[in-house]
Amino acid sequence: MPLSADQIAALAPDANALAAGKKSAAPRLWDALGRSDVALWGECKGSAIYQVRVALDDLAAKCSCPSRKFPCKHSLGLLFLAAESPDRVPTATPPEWVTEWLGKRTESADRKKQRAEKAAEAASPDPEQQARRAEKRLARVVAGVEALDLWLSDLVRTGLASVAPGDAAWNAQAARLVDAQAPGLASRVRRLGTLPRSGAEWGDRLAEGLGRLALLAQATRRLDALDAPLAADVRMAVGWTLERDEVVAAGERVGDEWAITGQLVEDDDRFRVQRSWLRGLRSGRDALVLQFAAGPARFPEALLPGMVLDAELAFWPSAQPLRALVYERRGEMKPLAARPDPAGGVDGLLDGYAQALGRQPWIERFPAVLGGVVPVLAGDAASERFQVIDADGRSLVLVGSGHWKLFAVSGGHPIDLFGEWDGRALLPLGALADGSYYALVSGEPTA
Amino acid sequence: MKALIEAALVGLGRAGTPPADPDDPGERLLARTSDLPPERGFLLRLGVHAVRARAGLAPALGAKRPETAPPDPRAACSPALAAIVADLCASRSKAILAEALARIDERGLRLPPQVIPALAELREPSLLPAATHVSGERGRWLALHNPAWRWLVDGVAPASLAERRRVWEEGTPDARLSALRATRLTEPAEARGWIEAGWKAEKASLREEMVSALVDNLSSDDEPLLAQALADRATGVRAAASRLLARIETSPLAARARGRADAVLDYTAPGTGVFGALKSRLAGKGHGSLSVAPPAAFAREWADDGLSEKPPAGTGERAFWLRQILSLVPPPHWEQRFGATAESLVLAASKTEWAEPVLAAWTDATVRFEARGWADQIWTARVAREKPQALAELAAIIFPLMDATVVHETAAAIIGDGSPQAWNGILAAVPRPWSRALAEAFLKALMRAFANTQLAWQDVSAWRATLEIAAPALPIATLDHVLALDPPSAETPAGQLRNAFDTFRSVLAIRKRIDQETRP
Repeated sequence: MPLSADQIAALAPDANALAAGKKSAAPRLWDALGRSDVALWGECKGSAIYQVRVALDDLAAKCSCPSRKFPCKHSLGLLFLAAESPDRVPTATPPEWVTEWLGKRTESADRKKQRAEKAAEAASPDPEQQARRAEKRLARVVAGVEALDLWLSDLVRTGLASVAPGDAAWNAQAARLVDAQAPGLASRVRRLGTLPRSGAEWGDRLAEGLGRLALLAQATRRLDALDAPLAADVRMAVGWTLERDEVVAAGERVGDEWAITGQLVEDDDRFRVQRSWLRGLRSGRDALVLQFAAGPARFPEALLPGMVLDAELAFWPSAQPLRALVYERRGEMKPLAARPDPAGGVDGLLDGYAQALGRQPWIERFPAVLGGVVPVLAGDAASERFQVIDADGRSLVLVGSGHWKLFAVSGGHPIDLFGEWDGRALLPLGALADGSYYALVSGEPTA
Repeated sequence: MKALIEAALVGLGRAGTPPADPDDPGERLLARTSDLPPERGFLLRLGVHAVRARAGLAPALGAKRPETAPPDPRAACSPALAAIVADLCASRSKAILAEALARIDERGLRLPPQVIPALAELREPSLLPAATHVSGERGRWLALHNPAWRWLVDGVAPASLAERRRVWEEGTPDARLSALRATRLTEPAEARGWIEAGWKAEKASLREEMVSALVDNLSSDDEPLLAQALADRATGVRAAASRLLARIETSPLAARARGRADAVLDYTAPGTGVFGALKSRLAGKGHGSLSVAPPAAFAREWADDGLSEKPPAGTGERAFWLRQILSLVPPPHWEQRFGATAESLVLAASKTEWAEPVLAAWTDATVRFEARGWADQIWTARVAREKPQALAELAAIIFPLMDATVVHETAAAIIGDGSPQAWNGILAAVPRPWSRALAEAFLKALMRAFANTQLAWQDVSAWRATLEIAAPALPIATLDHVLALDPPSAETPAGQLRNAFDTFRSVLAIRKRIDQETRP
């Protein structure tokens, strides 16, 4: 599988591991290198001799070194080495320490599958007890929502102009919502609390955010009256979570070749959140795969931007299904060479977004696949403000920073652009120009 | 919507609740909630409007597309090489980056567009002209859109004279100077004409650069222009003009400089004939003798030629004047005047009591007038007299004037019997890539250090610097051999170099990959 340096870099848990991984790619450090249809392996001379193996389907790696970073520098080194000098990694019969590991992987995958099936069959061990628990939680959430409504009402009665930025009141209200088992509402409140006096039009953004939050509160009170898919959306937004098994059992499953069109990793205090946007080559459907990793741990699914993954995804139940998990992978990823249609211009994106909002008004991020747009510098170079303009002359503002790479790749010519649309501005994540995919790591949007 | 947001900001308590518009479809959605408390009803109205505003966002029109970048005649280098270049830009490894760009340029390739912004952002003129060539049409296009990246195109003049003339008339200051310098190399009179025509209107800093550009192909034809510049109101311009006039033999300034200098030096050749030679040798004067008579007083008019009267603290007046007087005369003048070789003259100078100011002045003059024939002699004479620190400074200015082969031999000899503390400064000035012999001398010394159980800690830390100097300098042909070397044993003092040695080898590994990726 021809992985590019960028793509291997995307697997590294942090910058140090990446640098160390590049160093570990030196051919002189390696011995007993080989590859088969399913794996790469080799022995790396570090402080000791380490046995390193990488599975080609999901890029899971196993190394005998004591590092707690996954993948470790030796595993990254092996991937870099195989990419840089493929002839150094000849096709060979895997030694025992490789076959043994591969065997264990298959076994544990089988076990996992069985467990999932069993869990799906077993449904609920004690339906009565579960129903009682669910009822109790709903009551607590509704009580929390009622308190939230009173708080919001107070806020608009006294006026947003008198709200101080970074006011402890926001965090206190968020904490109350956490106690009421509505963490989704809590984090919305916390985010809104950062808006007062934060840049242009903060009043508009705050008022709109509060209004949308009030709609969500109202929907929570009337959960019973909603259609099941929209009720599922509301529950997710409020903070009810579904386990993997529950998603697999309840959600729609779609098999396709999924183009990974863009990816973004955000650092929280305690863990990293990865958002990957997928587009089905046959179905044209979009999916968002969220993954979480604590500290230097690796994300469970290896998803490389610019690659195509043959897999079955399971979607969370929703009126506008986007969030999904990888239920089953089938074979290696392949490079994305052509635009995953349908791709429209700006109007197409905005129409699709409007329709999605009609079905699910709390969508925060919407996948954008724009065909034939030209990045344009808006204002002088030092401002680094960019737009994209489509064939009909309609343009959208780009958020984030570091768009010069996108600008350079286009050279004024139309390109295909992948990104996230938040209702106001576009965050570019990837581009396809002359048949090559470019991952765009944009700086964080500043409010 | 606007009314709702204003009411939210001011507060319903003061502003009251804005009346609902019964014709608005958004408001009609909320008809069923009319029995809610007014604040909650208001919040829901805000929410409905917010969602509708998002859904109904109208895209902007009228943004202007940039002109498209023309296609590039060169083919892109390999993605692997592009990734290496991106890494080198990120780590600001200028020496290796320079090598990579030069190799890509030699192969007639270019960088793929996504790498160019990182390169352009370095703003590193030492990477020119390769950086310009490998950035190609896309780099030129990007520089049009980002003034901070102009260096990428302004630093390199177009090939055709007509195009350069256009740049001279319309370009940015940097681009104009590049065009001027390039033209001066092939059409010196044309370049002088450009300066004469536009001279008065320019800023002082640009006038100074314009005058300095005359240095190539300098001739007596430039005298009138330089004489005019000598009367300029800016000191920098006057100084530049006087530097150049001193190099034109026929100029009155040069004649005055020679006159001043001739008065302070005299030379007696070694005796001729069998007896004379024997007498000289017995007297230790195989190279003749130099008599030095520094001026006793500072003549007023010297100041007009740019000489200073007051020495810095710690320097005697006469030595200070002597050094200035001699540094303004091209060294070959003495070969003609005394009929002696540079070697004899430098040796003779070393033996006088004024050896230090005379050698310092001749060093200045050698550098100023690029007297290549004198560089070797100056270096040899001063190596024998001076400390490593002073030699490092000397090496930096004098090595560029010496033949690379000679420099490499010199450096190999120094590595052969010195310590890293002494040679680092000198080695840093040696032109890259090193000769094979120098690389071998370096490796021999390195292996000796690895094996040395008594290696001093000062040497260990100096070796770290040596490894950094050697990494970008070793010739490609030696890389395989060096990469196969074992790191120092952890039990020896050199064991502390294991990390530095690792870094050293990873730099070599990158250079090897650059080489592989640019092989035809």
